[in-house]
Amino acid sequence: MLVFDDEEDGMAVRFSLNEFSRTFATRERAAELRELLIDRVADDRRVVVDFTDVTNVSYSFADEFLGKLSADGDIRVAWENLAPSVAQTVERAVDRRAGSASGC
Amino acid sequence: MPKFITLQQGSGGKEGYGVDLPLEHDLEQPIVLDATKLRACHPMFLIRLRLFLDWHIAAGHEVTLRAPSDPAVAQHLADMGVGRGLTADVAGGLPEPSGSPEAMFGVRRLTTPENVEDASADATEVLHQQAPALAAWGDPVYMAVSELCGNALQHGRDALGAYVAADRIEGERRQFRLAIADLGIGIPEHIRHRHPDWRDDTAAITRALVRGVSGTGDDYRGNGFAEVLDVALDRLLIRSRSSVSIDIRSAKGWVIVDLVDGRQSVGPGRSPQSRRGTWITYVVETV
Repeated sequence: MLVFDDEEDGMAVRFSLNEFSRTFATRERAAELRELLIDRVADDRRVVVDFTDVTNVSYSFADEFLGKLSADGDIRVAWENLAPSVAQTVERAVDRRAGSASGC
Repeated sequence: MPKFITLQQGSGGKEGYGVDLPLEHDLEQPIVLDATKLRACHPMFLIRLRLFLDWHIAAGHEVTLRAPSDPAVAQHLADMGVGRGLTADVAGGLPEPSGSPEAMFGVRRLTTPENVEDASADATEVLHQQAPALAAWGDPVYMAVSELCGNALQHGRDALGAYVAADRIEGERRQFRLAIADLGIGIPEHIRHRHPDWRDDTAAITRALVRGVSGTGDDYRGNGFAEVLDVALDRLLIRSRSSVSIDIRSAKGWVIVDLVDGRQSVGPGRSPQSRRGTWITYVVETV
């Protein structure tokens, strides 16, 4: 699990992916969800993405969704409740695009 | 004079390419695909068969499939979606699909990202439901279907979209065979958008497997193929002790990736034949 370093994630907007599906494959889906997340976050500028019940994500989805969000830096984003294989994919995508700035 | 194309036993070939199915406007009509003697069918062959029918129908050509005389083979073609949605004039000789679990994942045409989402989820779900012993293959199969179908649809940009099919073979060794195809610009041409000097098609495909090599303008793209290979190496080769063979043909290029005996090898196929679009088979086998 990745959390905000100032321990204020309790105040963050929660974005539950299982509201949409349990699997996420395409960049198109990722771009839609990224836009939706940005709308929901509004002025809070911080969000926790909840992966509960998500069984699979593609690398392209992870890159287009969390990779770009993290790299843009406009919103502070964290994620939690990832299955091990999903966590591996997400971390690789975020690290590759955002480097040491990943997640926070 | 009708144009007869005979699909005989083994004409699908071991890899599904054993018979020429020309996508040409100047074929004589009606075009008759005679499958009466057809026996075993690789999923790539079934994709080629369905794509051939769709392409000629879209071109306004008169085309008919003569169903296999062996009822089991005819049923397999029907269960694998070869006749789905086609009129009786085209594929009327095929029976209704039986819902057999042996037809793991019939031929699907993908035209939207939603289709890719569904295909990726279904391939993994079907693997879990129909072959619980192979459930460990679910994650790498999901990565392969999502990334390779996503590429086929996004970079292929052909009006027919992309095609995917999969089956499994239960025997001394268990096999899962996935096939994906599109009639788009092909991997070499796509890669040459960014790397115009890479003129050799086989070399261009080989380089496209390397992380970060992309035909797009985004420096962070071009990781999908590498991710498919990395996940297969980790989950299939190392953890499940299975072997993987990936056969990629596009334009005049042909590359074979083998993950076996703890290592990965990448090499050219034999005598590449010029081929429109991109054609990929991904085969996992217990060892």
